[in-house]
Amino acid sequence: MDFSSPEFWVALGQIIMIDILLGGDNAVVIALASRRLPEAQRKKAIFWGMFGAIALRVILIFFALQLLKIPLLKIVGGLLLLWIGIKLLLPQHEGSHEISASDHLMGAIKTIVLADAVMSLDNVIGIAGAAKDSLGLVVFGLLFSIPIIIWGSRFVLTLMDRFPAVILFGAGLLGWIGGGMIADDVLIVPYVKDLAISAHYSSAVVGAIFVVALGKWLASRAPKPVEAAAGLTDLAAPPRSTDKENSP
Amino acid sequence: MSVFLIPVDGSEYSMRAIDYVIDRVKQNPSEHRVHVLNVQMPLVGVNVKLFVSAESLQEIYREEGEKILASVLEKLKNAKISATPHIGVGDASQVIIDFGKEVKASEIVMGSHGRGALAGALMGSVAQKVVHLSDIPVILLK
Repeated sequence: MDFSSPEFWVALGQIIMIDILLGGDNAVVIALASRRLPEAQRKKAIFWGMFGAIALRVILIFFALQLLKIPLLKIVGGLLLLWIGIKLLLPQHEGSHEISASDHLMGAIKTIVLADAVMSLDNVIGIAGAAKDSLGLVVFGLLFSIPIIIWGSRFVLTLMDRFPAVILFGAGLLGWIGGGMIADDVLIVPYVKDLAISAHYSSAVVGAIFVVALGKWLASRAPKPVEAAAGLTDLAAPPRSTDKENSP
Repeated sequence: MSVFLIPVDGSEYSMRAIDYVIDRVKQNPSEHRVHVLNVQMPLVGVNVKLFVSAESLQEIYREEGEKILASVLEKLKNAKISATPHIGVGDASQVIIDFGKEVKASEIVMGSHGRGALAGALMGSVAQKVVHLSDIPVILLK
């Protein structure tokens, strides 16, 4: 791929989108995990959490390009992207297996390291999938993710909140890249390389449709979140002691 | 009687809105109603979905909102003005307009700029949208 080919620019756009989707809220997760720590420790935890998120991406990218040549790993990576894409469309889960905001430094660090690992892994696989084999694009994806992680969260959250279509489009894109990646696995290529149509793009289309359809269907079956059901939610209601205390 | 709705985000501009309302209300506070509202941005990212449950999100919105409202309420209390705190979640301008209707506000008083200058510059500020969409008179403090 070079600058003049449309594929290059499509891949570039995909990578930007992936970085925004999968890197934009990392800072939020890290901040949430460390919010119960004392102020000084919290700042350190956030700093090292962000540092870890970026460092892990650098390390993982370095290995990802090699690892993805191993049979089966593209299938696994592709399935991970499909799963993330579906997850993107589902409402917030009510479950219990979540990161806890630990009030101990060690607890917060454990949480942040785990979250960093998952968040970096899906971002790196997404970049590698979109960049196909272009090292330049991979490096671009890595560099672009850094400012997104550090400064981007407010912008990204506003964007997704203001334009919900971004989420639908993002889920479709993850399905597209995941689907394409599965078809590119060393195990699959020998069976599909002689087909009249491109297995990569057919699989990408199927992946995108699969993610959007299944995600939408599951979301429609999921219980509605509390806030949507109750209309206007006032988290300060009922007027509690603060109101009375405040009376002259 | 005036019913003031003051959306606040902890920024200097929103403090000016508080000062303005204090100025207008302090002569006869009992004749007015003051509502202060903080709107929390929904944390909608996929990683947040993976790692944080809906309940703790609600708790986070509440805590963050209370943090911002605390200094505002303190300021009003020092001026001997009683105010009702509200915390909403969502697209700030829309939530402000909805609360305006809900509390039957006669005026919405807010800062012309808030936090999130970058997002505001790229996607339009909250104040702009409120002025544009609200049926209730809006006073912007610069």
